[in-house]
Amino acid sequence: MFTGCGIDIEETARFERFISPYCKEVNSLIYDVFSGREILNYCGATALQRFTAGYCCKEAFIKALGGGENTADIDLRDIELIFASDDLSKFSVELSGSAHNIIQERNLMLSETSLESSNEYIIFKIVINDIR
Amino acid sequence: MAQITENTLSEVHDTVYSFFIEECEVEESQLNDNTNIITDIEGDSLMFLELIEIFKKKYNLNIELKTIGKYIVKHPVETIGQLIEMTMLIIKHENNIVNLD
Repeated sequence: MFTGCGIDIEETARFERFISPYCKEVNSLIYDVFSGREILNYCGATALQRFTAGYCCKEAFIKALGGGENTADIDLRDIELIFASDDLSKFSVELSGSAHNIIQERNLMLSETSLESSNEYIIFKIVINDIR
Repeated sequence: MAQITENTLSEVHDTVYSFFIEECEVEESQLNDNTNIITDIEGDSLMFLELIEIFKKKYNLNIELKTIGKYIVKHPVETIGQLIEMTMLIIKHENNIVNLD
């Protein structure tokens, strides 16, 4: 039986160097880590918090699977955190490609996802379990 | 593939050291090639990604992050020296780094 828990915390200020206000300028690193859909979803008034949360989500997913060889084939852009509205509490974690494949091959599911935020930090938690 | 010159190693060395001095707020005297990036100077994955991006731009490299991930599984990068060594291999081999062994 498999249970994995991944938690990541990041300071939002660290992402200021990668994204200018309202995403007028975006560091090339962003395109390596975030999908086009995420970039479109995040750019706006709360871009800094969203990009930070998106990164935390990806890190938490990798950690929940144990990292290392388990996750070496995963493209970070295949782990997407998508917000439904301006409210950071309304989101979905969507897996595609390499991330979806590893979950499916191992018969796993994301049983819990949570996001906590303050003015300075974002924390993301993912719990992964066996489907059976 | 970038051209490797006699200066490339010293450029990479200086870039890595300068980066960690600034990001981890440490003195140069606290760093050496055996410094553990995580346990000694509290480095993290975001710093690692940013460094990779710096080198990608500097040397116009064709390298994917997941290729680096696959390489690191077989060749752990824990120290500054190992990071410099990996960077030199990336500059020389780009995405073919995963086929080296």
